[in-house]
Amino acid sequence: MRDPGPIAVETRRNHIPGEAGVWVLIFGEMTVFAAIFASFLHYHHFDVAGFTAAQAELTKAIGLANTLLLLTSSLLVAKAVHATRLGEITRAPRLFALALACALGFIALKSFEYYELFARGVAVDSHMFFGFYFGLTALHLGHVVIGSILLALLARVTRNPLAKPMHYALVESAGCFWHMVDLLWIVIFPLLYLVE
Amino acid sequence: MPAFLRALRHDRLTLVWLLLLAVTLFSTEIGGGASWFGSPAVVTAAVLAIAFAKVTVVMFTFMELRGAPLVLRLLAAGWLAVVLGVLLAAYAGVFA
Repeated sequence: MRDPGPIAVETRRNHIPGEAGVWVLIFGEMTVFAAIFASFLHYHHFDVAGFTAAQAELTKAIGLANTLLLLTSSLLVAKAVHATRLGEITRAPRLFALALACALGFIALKSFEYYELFARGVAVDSHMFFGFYFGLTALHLGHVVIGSILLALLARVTRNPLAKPMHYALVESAGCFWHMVDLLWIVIFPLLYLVE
Repeated sequence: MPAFLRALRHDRLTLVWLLLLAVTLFSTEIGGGASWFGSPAVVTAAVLAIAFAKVTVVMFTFMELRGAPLVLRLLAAGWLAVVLGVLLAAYAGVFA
């Protein structure tokens, strides 16, 4: 039986994952994105043909692959946070590093998709759809980059046993930020690639 | 039973992940032009509802919201329900 460490594992009752402030940030960010999602669908309603034609320029397989990468990274982060609590100083950093690899894969695929669209002459002002497409994905990509930096930091700090209970809250908070990056993409993908 | 399946039985997070992958493949198949069932409105409502179901699952398992105080869980559930409702209404042109 492994020592559960200074903090009881996972299913503590009435425990706010990370800290309250992180959830204010998460719901704040998600509300901003939700407003953009709503305006996208609003304009979609009045130009279904135009939005559908523009959407056909996207490669569904790239969006799907990116969704699978982020879902996988989220699983790895959830397992890594768990491993951190168990004091597994070999496994936790490895899991965070694997999650970072998924994040970098996402950035590479997204860059390729942009490059490919530009090469075919698609621009931000080609159609309102692409205004939303580039705006939303670039804003999200910024979050992926910030999250990647956090994952790299986590992969470093978890190589040593964490000294204070507060450090666990920081690991949980950074983990939750990464899950939010995944959550946003879970909605952005169907919105841009699948809505009819 | 193969060893990896036996291990999976006790690995809730991995099971949830497999479920999320399967649901993602399903919604990708039905959405985005080449749909083989229903009207565009039905497909759109389905892919958005599936996306919000996925968000809920990620929040309550990966983000460990299921162990969080009731207030936070209610807030999250309420936010998700309201936003999904607003998105479906926007799609339907309610805010014209």
